[in-house]
Amino acid sequence: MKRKDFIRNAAFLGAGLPLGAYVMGNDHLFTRRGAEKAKHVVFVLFAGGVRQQESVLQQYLSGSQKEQIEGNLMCNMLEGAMPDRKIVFGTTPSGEPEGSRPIPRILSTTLERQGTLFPEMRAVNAGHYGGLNSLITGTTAASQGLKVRPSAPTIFEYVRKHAGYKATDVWFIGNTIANSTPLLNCSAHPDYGLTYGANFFAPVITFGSPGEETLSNAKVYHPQEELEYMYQMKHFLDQTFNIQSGEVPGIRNTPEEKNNIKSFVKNVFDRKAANSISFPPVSSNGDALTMGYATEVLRWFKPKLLVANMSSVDSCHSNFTSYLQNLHRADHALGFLWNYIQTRIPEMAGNTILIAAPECGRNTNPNPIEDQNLWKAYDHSGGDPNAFRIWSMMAGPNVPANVKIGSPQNPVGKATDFTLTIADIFGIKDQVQQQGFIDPQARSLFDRM
Amino acid sequence: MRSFNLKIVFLLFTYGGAMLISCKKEKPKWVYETNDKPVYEVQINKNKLKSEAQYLSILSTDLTQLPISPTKLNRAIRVLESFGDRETANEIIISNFMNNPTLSIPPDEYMRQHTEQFILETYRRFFVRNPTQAELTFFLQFIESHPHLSVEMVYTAFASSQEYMFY
Repeated sequence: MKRKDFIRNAAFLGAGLPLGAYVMGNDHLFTRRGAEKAKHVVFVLFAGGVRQQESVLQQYLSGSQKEQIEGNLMCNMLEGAMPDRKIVFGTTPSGEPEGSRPIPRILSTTLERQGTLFPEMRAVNAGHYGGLNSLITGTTAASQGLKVRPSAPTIFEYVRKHAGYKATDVWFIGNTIANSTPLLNCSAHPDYGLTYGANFFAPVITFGSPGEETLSNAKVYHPQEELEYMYQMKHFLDQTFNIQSGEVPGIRNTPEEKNNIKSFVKNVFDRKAANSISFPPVSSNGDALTMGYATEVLRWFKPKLLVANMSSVDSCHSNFTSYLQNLHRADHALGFLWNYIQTRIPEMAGNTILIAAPECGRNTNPNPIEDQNLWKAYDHSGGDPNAFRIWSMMAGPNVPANVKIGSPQNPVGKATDFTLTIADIFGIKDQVQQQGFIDPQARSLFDRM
Repeated sequence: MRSFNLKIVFLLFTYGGAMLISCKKEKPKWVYETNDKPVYEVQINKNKLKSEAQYLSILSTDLTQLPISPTKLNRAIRVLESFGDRETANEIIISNFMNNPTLSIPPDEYMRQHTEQFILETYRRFFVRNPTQAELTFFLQFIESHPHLSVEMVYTAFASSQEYMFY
């Protein structure tokens, strides 16, 4: 071979190797994606353990306290009249009994009318963390430990790796930093993990009084005149350090995304100080505040995928009245969120699919704890089939309207279906299934319609 | 003959005894004293990640020369846990410190007038080590070639670096 040819071939090879490595490492460049069903997905984990009896079955007190009063507490989601007696779940006007005024409905058309309801599905885990894992990983999470990241890849990682979304396109909004919630934004899987994780806020902490003290006085540096030089120095220092063992915790955003997040944080504190953040009209619990801040994330980033977690209904362990109140408020917060997307975020209105589902149900029989109304409380445990009964609601483009699929006699759908459903919406269902982690019985809910 | 031998023995004993008890020249006594001197390594040998509490406590001390109160520390730890991107959270917290009235950093003039000393002190403050020659050269050139660079910017880069998160 002539020297000239050798140099030319070596140059081509040298240029081709990094490109090849880049292509091989990014599945979205390598495989064909299916058609998208919507541009955005908002998945609300209606979590904390919701009994079918008080939710989709609309039994109010008749399914739990042996009082023959039925009615619908979830007036934004479900068709059906509210209870007409012993109303304890609403707000408390001055001089009237506690919770006696139901919160007015936000949506003019219920989500049941707008979309598809799966009223009887099956959870795969009766615990919170295992249940949440099954919703976002599509696995049965049978061997999932507490206080560790999911062992199987999450939907966040799938969409980032296989659909090529950047970190600020994918968000997980937690209602707490307890119960391992912050660990759900990515798995510990070596092929996915932090590199493809979702951005995470627990906004009642991040933007509550702890965040106020720790973050609200921060500067936003000029991108070219200040930040660029800081990052040049930091880059030099990081390259020198070149960590071999251990890994810096947290997901990775590009410098531009980092700056955008910083601007967002400052903006939220400014809007909070100006009382401009839109919270649900009744924001008396952590779920409502979480949903309010979730709309700030939606408004600012217009993410491809946002998953938001609620869990106030878990007060049912010790107070049934509080559970009813929180169930009513969770419906209120969900209605607020959907209404906000449709009316205040033009980029997402009409091209967002909303999905809501609990992670598990609650037991058939109560525990001995009585509340102020002498109503018994309910736990959720693995030995009770009622704790495995859940439902889900979907609405948005390509979701059939006013359709109900399944019944108590004919359950349709599993908690492990949601990961494939979201993958299906973004056109990467086949790629996700091919990875081999998803529950073999799971299917996209679109395939169950 | 016998008395001659006794004389020799007597003289040897006398001489030997005189040698043992006679005066000697005193040797000077050297007393070595040491000054306290901190020892800094140059090599990087950090592989343990600081916990949130360790990171925030050390950061507060490095930037304000004051310990952080337990209440503030607890709140700040919770904020770090509520943020998915730890590096970005750190950068915002550092920036928040930079607006804190208790901030204690050298003035920009000091950095300009005593650049090499400033770099040494900065490495010792944040990394508890001396810079290598390559690191020293880089920062000397960087500071000299960027006239608008401030101490705050240099400190932010160090406090947000990956090495600062490890010990």
